[in-house]
Amino acid sequence: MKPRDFDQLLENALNGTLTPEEEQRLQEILQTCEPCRKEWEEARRLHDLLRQAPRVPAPLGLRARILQQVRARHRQQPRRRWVPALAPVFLALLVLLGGLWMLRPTPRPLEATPVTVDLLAPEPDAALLTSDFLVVGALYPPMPYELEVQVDSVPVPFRNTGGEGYFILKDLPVSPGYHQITVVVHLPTLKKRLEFHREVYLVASGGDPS
Amino acid sequence: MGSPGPGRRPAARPRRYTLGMDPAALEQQFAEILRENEERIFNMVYWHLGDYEDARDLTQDIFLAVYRNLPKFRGEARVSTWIYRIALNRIRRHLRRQRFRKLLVPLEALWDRGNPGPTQDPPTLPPAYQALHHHLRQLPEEFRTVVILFYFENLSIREIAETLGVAEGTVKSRLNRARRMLRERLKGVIA
Repeated sequence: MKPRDFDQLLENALNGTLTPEEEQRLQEILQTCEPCRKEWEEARRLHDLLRQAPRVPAPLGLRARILQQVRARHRQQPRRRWVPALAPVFLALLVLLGGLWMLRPTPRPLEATPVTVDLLAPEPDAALLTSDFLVVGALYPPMPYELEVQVDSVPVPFRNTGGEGYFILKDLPVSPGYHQITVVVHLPTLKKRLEFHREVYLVASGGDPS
Repeated sequence: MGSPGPGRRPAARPRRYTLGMDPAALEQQFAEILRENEERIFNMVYWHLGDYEDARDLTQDIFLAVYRNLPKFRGEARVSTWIYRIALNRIRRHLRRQRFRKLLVPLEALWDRGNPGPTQDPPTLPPAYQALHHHLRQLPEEFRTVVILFYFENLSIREIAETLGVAEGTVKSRLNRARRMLRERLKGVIA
C-alpha cells in the first residue's frame, strides 16, 4: 500500500518544487514501496519524454511573411483611418435619424376629419319639407361629443336620437325659406371644436314656402 | 536523485512597450517582438494543432493580432505573457471553428484559399513523439494547454497561472491530472 504522502511528493518532484526534506522522504518511500517505485519510474519516463520533446522549428520565411503583411497593412491603414474616426459621427447621425423617425408626426386622420355632418338637403337649392328636416352626422371612431345647432346664427333646441358614433337631430324649430344651419361639434377627448355650415331651402310641409 | 524539475530560463525583465502611433517605431518594435517570440509561439501552436500548415497560418494570424494590439499594450504583464494570452485565445477559436469546419470539408475543397506561400515539409517526429502528439491532442484543452506551457514552453507554474488567469493550485491540479491521463494512454510507449 502506498504511503499517504506519496502522491503529493511525486507531484512536487515532477513540478520541480521538492524541498530537501521532501526529497529525502521520497527516497525513503522509493526504497521500501515497490508500487511507489513502479509509479515513480513511469511518471519519470513520461516526464522525460515531455521534457525532451523536440522543438518544432518555425517554417522558413514565416517571419518575413508576417512582416510583409504588416507593411501591407501600413499602406492600407491611412485610407481606412477615416472609418473609425467618423464612426461616432455616423452613430450620432443614426441616433438622430432614429429619434426623428420615432418622433415623426403620425398621420392622424381621425383628428383632421373626425366628424362628418350633413343635412338631408346636401344641395343648397334642394327644397326640403320642414317636417322632413334632419341634421345627421357621424364620428369615426365613436367618441363623446356635445352639439350646438344654430339656425341663422341663433342657437336652437333639438332632439338627438343618435348614439356615440353618430347623431340625428330632429325637431329643430325651422320655418320655410332659406336658412343658414350651423352645427358646432365639441370633442372633449380631442379638445377640439368643429363647425359645419350648410344652407338649406325649406318648404312648408303643406306646400310652397310663403 | 536529482530533481526532475525543469531547468528554467532566467526570468526575462518585463519590458514596456509604450508606443505611439508612429508606424516606423511600431514596426520596429513589432519586428523585435516577432524575432524573440516567433519560434516558441509556432512551437506551441504546432503542439496544439498537430498540423504544420495550420500552425504556420495561425502563427501568422496571432502575430498580426499582436501587431494590431501593440499600441494598446500598457506593459501590465510581460510581453511574452500577453502574447501567450493572444495565442491561446486564437488557438481556442481555431479549434472551435475546426470542429465546425469538418462538416464543410467538401465545400472548402472547392474554395480557392489563395496562395499559401512557399510550402515546406513538416518535420517528422520520432514515433514516441508522434504517439505523444496524438494523445496530447486528445486531452481536454485546459489540460493540454498546461502540459504544453510547462513542458514545451518551459513556463513555471506561476507564469502559467498568470498567463491563464487562474490560481497556481489550479495549474498544479490540471498538470497532475494531465500527467495521469497521458501516463494511462501512453503505457505502451513509456513502459
